[in-house]
Amino acid sequence: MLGSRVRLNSTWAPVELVSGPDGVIDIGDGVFVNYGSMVSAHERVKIGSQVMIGNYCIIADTEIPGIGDPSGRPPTTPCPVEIGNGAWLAARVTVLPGSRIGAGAIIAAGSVVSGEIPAGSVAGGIPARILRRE
Amino acid sequence: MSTRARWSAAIARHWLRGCTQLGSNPRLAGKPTIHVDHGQLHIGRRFFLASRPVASHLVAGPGALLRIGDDVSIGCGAAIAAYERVQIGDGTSIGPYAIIMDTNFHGSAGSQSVQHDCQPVIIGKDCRIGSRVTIVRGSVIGDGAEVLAGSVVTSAIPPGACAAGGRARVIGRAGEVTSRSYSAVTLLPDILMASLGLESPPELDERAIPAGLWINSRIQVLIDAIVERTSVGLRPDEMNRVEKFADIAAAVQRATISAGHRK
Repeated sequence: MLGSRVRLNSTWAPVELVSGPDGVIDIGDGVFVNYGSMVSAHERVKIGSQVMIGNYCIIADTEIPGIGDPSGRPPTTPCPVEIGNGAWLAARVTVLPGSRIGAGAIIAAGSVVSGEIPAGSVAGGIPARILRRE
Repeated sequence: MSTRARWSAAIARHWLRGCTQLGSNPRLAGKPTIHVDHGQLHIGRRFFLASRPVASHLVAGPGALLRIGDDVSIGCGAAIAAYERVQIGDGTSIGPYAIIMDTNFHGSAGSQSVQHDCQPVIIGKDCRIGSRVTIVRGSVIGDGAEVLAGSVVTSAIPPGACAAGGRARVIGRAGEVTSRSYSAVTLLPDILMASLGLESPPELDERAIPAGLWINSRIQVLIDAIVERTSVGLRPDEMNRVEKFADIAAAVQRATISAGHRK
């Protein structure tokens, strides 16, 4: 499900959106995804409106994104991912299964997000810790 | 087997034709680069390799052996190179953008010529290697171990352990650290060092905690420090049952699950 005015920049490397047989990718209005990023859903990945996603990000609800098996069976148990409205993910961010990123949160480049990032905060690192709160 | 599955297996065999041995039913997404230069590349049955959106490459240099077992799956953007020996056990899955090499491609510092001072890399059976993990030469990962996303493995990870960090250290048992408790558990070694008065941050492995360290007054200091740094609340009775460093990580994991989502 794509909202209106969604922009996918695939200039240097393609953007890949993959969903398994029961997977739902729900992308809101005005979302921007830069090149080389991958969004993969075997259950549910929800990206709110006006979200910006940098290059080479991985957003997946399973450990290994994408469809390996011809039947589309997920490689590991999926766990839904949610990104709130207006969040900004910088380059090379990895969002692990089961993560929730609050509205307006900013994730620094190269971070690995696991668990919950509160709305409006700035987070970064491996795993991402909150650097600044709203 | 459907016509479509047979067709995709035939295409996979074509792109993997550089392999010296290839098991049945390989599957690919996208086109990988396979480079076998007078070496051996053995791949087991039901192999899966993704190369979309970024291509993966497998390299076996002169006289080298890159052996990949049965039921191995590897995400996109993987860079796996053997110039002596790299082994990946049966049933192991490897996330996207992994780097696994048994050489660092140069000799002494300052020398710009390509040299291979190799130390074999051995990855056991049923391991789970997360996204963007780097495994450098000489690493040995035991059977059933788990390496969390973004880690760099430089040494041995014991079987069944969960490891993470810029120099990966054991932070609990495989499968017991989920993405929700990842942040809290990675802070634990430093908290333990401060609260128990240790000289260095401990590995949260199967070693028993020295009896003299685990006394009630220190346990309370530790529980307070964990709440302050990670906002995970542990019960004293649960901590009294702890015998090994890995048990503390398991207790934090249970507490994060039972607490549900927290700010």
